[in-house]
Amino acid sequence: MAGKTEIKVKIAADGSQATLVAPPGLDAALLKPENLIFQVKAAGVLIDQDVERNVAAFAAAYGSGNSERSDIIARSLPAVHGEDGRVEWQQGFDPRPQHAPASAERTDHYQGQHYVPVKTGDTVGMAHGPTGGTDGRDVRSGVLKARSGKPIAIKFHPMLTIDSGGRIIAQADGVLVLKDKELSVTQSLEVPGHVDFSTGNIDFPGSVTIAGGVGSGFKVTAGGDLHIGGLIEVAEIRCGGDLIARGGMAGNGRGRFRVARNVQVVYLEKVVGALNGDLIVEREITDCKLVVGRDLRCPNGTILGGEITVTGALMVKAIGSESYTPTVIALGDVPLLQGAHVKVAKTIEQINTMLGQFAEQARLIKLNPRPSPADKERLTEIAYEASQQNQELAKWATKLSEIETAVRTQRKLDVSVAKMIHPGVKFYIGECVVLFKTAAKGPLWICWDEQRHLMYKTSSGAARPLSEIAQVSRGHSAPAAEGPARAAAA
Amino acid sequence: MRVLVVDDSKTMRNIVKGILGTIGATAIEEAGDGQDALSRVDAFKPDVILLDWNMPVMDGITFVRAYRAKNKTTPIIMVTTEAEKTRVMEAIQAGVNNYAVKPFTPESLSKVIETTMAKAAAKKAA
Repeated sequence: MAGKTEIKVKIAADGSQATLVAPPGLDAALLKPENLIFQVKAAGVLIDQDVERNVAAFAAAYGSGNSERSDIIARSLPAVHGEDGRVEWQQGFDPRPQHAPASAERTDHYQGQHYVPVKTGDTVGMAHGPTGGTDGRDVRSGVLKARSGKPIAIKFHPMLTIDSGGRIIAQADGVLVLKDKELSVTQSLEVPGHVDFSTGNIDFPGSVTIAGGVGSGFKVTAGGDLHIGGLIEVAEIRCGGDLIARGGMAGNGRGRFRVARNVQVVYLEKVVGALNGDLIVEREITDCKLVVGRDLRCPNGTILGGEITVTGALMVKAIGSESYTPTVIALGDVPLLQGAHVKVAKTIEQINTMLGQFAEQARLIKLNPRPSPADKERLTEIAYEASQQNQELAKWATKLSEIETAVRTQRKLDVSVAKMIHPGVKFYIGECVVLFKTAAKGPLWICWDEQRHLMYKTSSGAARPLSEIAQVSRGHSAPAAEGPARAAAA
Repeated sequence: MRVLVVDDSKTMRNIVKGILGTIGATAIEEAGDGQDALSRVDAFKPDVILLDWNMPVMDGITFVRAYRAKNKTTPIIMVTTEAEKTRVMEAIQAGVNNYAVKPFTPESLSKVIETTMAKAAAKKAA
């Protein structure tokens, strides 16, 4: 008589649970588990072992039926929603803005880089795709649909690839940038403001553009060109391309630069520097120690104080000052190449010494009229090593010859002064020292004649011996090729 | 050109490899003795074998006899300190194609290899 029973099966509207309700005073026969299971099943609830166990427990707990009993006997299996796609960054490659560490650890803020340099082949992170999730079921065995995860919210520029294992691999050297939800590798670094504690030192293999200046104590190293928008203070600048500074550089005797190509700057004050190319300065060069690999052009400015070596032409408005500021300029010298010349010549000497040692070893072995197999093998080794060293020697000899040719072609004397050479200015030209004791008014040109005599010319006349306007003496070496500037050149 | 270099001295193998690098060897396999060479030669399929005479386990002349017994025709150059005429004749009779006596220079060994390869090519063409 199941139809007369007052036992009820209540199912939640969302199918998440089924409750068995039995009023008090029911006949024990009605509460047999098989009867209850029949009713639960009739209500549409899926019967499984859990339900059977819960129903049996319900029947046992009902007991004599003194009070109404209500127990949940079935629960839904909820859906497990999929996870959204995400990127797990490798240590040191997280391009998202970093927050200052909370710890009180000592940190070298000059060294703290706030951009992420990458090299080709670097694995910058792991891409975890979205998961689909697992569907659940309600108490009636209806499907509770799982929600799939969303794709990774980052687009990947072609400079980054994702391999079958999910590794995100850089395909170029540069800086890892996450901007507008796109991850890319840029081959030029842009610093929007100053180089200071907010950026740390900059060391980048490509080109660097700094919108502001470079603060004292910081180092900027760029493998390519370097553009600096503001003042360069007591900083160290190294550049594999051109250095273009929209401001000046005030080095206070400790600011340094080493540039592989040309430098263009508004002014230089108390700077030590060396460059392989041309130096173009808009205004003055004050108290600097410089080695210029090619021409120095400062047509609207003055060179005042310091020691400057110029390999190529010198074009300047004025040199020195009325107050007799000692200003030393070495000309017709190729210090950058001469350094390389010395180095190559030394290498050749070392190889020749080694070849001499091989020859001596071979000679001693050959003194034995019946050399042993070991001697013969050693002679083979010596012959091979000597052959290798001879190949090296030929390579270095070619290099030496190229340097000597370059020294000959780059060495020149071409000085053009538009307005004035003041007293106290000293030129080192080859073996000659030229000291200006009185002012020499421009425009004037200093050059060698065909016999390599030092001459000067004014706009009006023919070439005259330079000794007419300055004291010329022989037998001195240029000091400007020594000291800090030479160190910077090295 | 694929070359099997058989010598118990690693230094000597390196020297020979260095020389082979300058005359266009595309693949070089090394073996430390004759037995080692026999185990590698079929898989490697060299165009020429450079072989030392005096080695532990199996010497060069035993390798030559064992290799030629299998009717293999790959040119073999004996690279050795054994310069006596009787030894040279013994090697030639065993099936060695050419002979380079230590000490050699890179140029002299290169020349022996090139001559041997040219002869082998001519024989093949005929």
